[in-house]
This record gives sequence, C-alpha cells and structure tokens, in this order.
Amino acid sequence: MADTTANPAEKPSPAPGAGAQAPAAGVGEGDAQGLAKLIKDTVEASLAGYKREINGEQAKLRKRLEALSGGAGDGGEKPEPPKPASQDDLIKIVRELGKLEASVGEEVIAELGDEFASLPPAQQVTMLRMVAKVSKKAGPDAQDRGGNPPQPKPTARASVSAPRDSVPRPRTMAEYIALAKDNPALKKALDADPTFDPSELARY
Amino acid sequence: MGNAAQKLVISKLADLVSRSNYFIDKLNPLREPRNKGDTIAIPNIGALTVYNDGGVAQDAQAVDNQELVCTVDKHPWIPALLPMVSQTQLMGDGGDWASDVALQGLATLKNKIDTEVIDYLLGVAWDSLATPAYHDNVAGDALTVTDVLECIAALQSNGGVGNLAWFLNPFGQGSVLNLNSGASKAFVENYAQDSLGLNRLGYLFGIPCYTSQSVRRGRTIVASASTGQTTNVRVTVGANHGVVVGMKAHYVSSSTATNDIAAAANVVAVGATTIDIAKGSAGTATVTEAGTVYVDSTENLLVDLAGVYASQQKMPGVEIVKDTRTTGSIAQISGLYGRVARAGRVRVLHTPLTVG
Repeated sequence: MADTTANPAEKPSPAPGAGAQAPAAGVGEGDAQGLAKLIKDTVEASLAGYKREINGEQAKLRKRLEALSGGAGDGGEKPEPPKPASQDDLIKIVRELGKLEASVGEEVIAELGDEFASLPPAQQVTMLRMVAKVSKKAGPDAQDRGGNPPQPKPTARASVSAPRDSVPRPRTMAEYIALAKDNPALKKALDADPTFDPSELARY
Repeated sequence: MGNAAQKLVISKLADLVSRSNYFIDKLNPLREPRNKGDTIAIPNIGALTVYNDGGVAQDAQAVDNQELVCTVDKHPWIPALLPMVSQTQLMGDGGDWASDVALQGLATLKNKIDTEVIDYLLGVAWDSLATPAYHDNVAGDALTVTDVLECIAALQSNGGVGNLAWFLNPFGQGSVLNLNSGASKAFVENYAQDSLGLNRLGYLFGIPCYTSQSVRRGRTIVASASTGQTTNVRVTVGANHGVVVGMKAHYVSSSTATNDIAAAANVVAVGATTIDIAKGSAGTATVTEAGTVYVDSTENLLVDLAGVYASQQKMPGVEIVKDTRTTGSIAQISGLYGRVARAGRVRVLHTPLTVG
C-alpha cells in the first residue's frame, strides 16, 4: 500500500520535472524518509546550478542599477529606467510574477533567498522567466499571455535598459535618407536587418 | 514586409537622394506635399510706406499680402519592366542591378522634372511687350560682358540682390567661358562635383554658375496651325510657350511648305497662344495642320532662388508590382511636386546655338 502520508518537511511540486516522486507502493516509513531525503538532495543539487546562474545575473543587474543611479544627477542626462509604470503595467507584472512563482515552485523561490525578494517585481519576473526556461519547468500558464512585460522580450541576458541597447531606427523616410549621409554604417546595418522595411516608413 | 527587391531599390535610392543636386533641389524648398492637389500658400508682404514724422498723426496702412500659392499637380512616373532573370540579379553581387535601376530611375525622373520646371520659368519670364522685360541678348547674338552685366543689374534692381544663381546649357557655358578669351576675366573657375545632378563650374561676376542639359537650347514647340500673312507667318501654339518679341525662330509645317520659314527669323509679335515669325514673302492663309517652331537660341537662366519655390517628395515613390503578362515585374518610380515663382525673379540670357 502506498504511504500517502506526506513528509511534513517536503511538499510535492505542482509541476513535473522536479524529481519529486511519490513513494513506491509497499515502502516502509524509514525507506520513505530516506527516499524523501534523496529527493530533497537531488532537488538541491539541481537547484545549485540555477542558483549560481541566477546569483550571477543578479550581480550583473545590481551593477547596472548602481551605474545608472550613480550616473544620474549630472544634469541634462536622459532618464533611463525606471519610467513610471502605469497601474495596468504594475498589475500585469504582479500577475505574471504569481504565475511564474507557481510554475517554478516554492523550493526555487526559497533557494533564491532574500536577495531575490528584495528585487523590484519587474526584475523578479525577468529572473523567474530565465529559471523557467533553464529548468524547463515552465508550464503553459507561464507562457500564456504574459501580459505586457516591461522589457520588450525575455533574453538570457535579461537586459534592463533595452532601449539603450537596441539599434535606433528612423521613424520617417526623411530620417532614413539623412542616415545615408550622416551615418552610413547604421543605414547599412538597417538594410541588412530583415525586420526593417523602409517602404513602411512615413514620409515625414 | 515588402518585396525584397523593392527594399533594395529603395535603399539605393536613399543613398542617391541624400546627395541629389538637381535644378529643382536648388529652389526655395517648401514642405513635402501630402498628396496630389495639395496647396501651399506663401505670404509676401508688399512694400510699406515710411512716413517722415512720427509726431504727425497718420492712419495705419493696410498690409498688402502678395500671396503666392504652390499647387502640387505634377506626378511624373516611370514604369520599367524587370524580367524575372534580372530580378535575381537585383539580389546578387552587391545588388549592382538595383543600383543601376535606382540611378537611372532617379536621374531620368529628376531630369524630366528639371526640364518641366525650366519650361515653367520660361513662361514666368514671358510677356508680349515689344521690348521684353525679362530677357537679355534676346536675339541670341554673340555674348558680351555687357549682356551679362545688364542681366544681373536688371534682376537685382527688380526685387533685391537675392540668392542668385546662373543655370547654363553646356553651349551657354561655352559662350560664358569664351568671355575670358578677351580682356575681361568675368568667369572664375571653381569646380565642384560632389553630388548627383548639377556641377558648379565657378562664378560669373560673383554669382555661382551651374551647367545642366535641362537648360533649353534650340527647343521645339508644337504648333497646331499656321496662317500666312503679308510679311510673317502666325503660328498657333499652346499656352506658356515662352517665346518673346525679338527672339530668333523658324517654322516647319508638316505638309504646306508655303508657310515654312527655313532659317532663323525674327519673332515680330506674340500672343498667349500665337507666335508671329517674319517671312519675306506672303504665305498661305490659315492652314490647320501640325507643325513645329524651332527656337534659334540657347535660353540660359539667371534665377533668384529665394523667389522660386518648389514642393517635392524627396524620395521618389517605388513599387515593384507583378507584370501579369510575363514572368517579370514592373518597377514603378514616380515623383510628386509643385512649383511657383514670383514675377521678375527669373531672367533669360540668350546665347547663340553654338559657342559664341
């Protein structure tokens, strides 16, 4: 008979792939505990890799934030993030955060620790997307209509200042023509970009 | 996402347009037109009266706004067949084919536009006076320094110094350079060729000189009828023909030779749609038949660029559409523009058909 009494120290993961398995039928209590420990050790071992990667990304993000906030105050500098998010944006971020937390599981959240918890929700979303992608635990809910994320698309680098990194595109044909004289290298890069079509530009 | 070949042609065109330097590009630029039929009003406050003594009561004068309206009503275009095999060449080897299509398309379009605008300006400089107001060396004799100086003085005294430029036909250029063969050093060479279109040759009495084949030499005017009169032939032509009294011209009909004028003769009178050319003998009464008037001079221009306005699409329209009758496609390259000039801001300096 299967021992359906769950070990209070362990909660079953809602999504597959965590390595947690129900105790086999006919296994005694001592074996169940040993099995639970084995499962926990396995989970922790697999999470160790994620934790290292996430910590690394956290460190990078922290440095970028420090650089951004350290550069402000010179006067005349264009404000980089954060742009004030609308109410709708915040609701969407929180909603997605909840979905991702459910998807990756409480163990992962616990392993990420206080540093993760201290991050703004938008950055938490970015990190959990990466975890979900790496662990392949992401279920349909995490991918399903994630609302309007603050970053343009999730990438392994989890870029915070996407507008600064992307190639500026001309908005009008007049600007495109001006590029031919003022910045031919940029024009050449745009012409090679299959997603850029100058015929779609407004004339002025 | 548009056609890849179209994208390549547009890219090449953008490179060319960024350094386009044709006649129309030198005029006073108005905003780009939004659509055909678009109108742009250009205000110009007329001269104001200055009173001597501010202590004397005076009614405020009305402001005379001599407004000009530029109507965008010109839509020249080029349909060019691109065989399917050639289209594949658009993509390969650096897109050389696309470069040629773009270059030829733009140059042909711009040259056509330049010719049309210059013809328009010849119409602006037209009048029916016995002594034309805006023409110099009207008979097209050998060019002299006096002719040039009178042309400059007349333009500057009729609206200010302005932003002047000469536009010479290559043969007119020869006549100007020929001025230096004498004692006068009227022309200073200062060649500049860094753009697509007109080259600057130098300066003629301090005014920049450009050469263009769009400047008219020996132009032809379509006639629809001719009437033999006692000592001249009256030829019926379209409006805005630009021919003034004193010019040299001749006429060739399609069949009735009795009204033909074989060699250059004086234009003795003009109307809005008529040109009277001197003929030694009486011709035949009204003959309605096709014919051609030949202008026997080179009609170079001195233009106040600030007084001639143009609204044009900077980038020609480009579409590559399927040709349903073959396996190829059709490249449609088009322009949209309008122009308007103030009276008296253009003068015609005639030179002979050959250098002289």
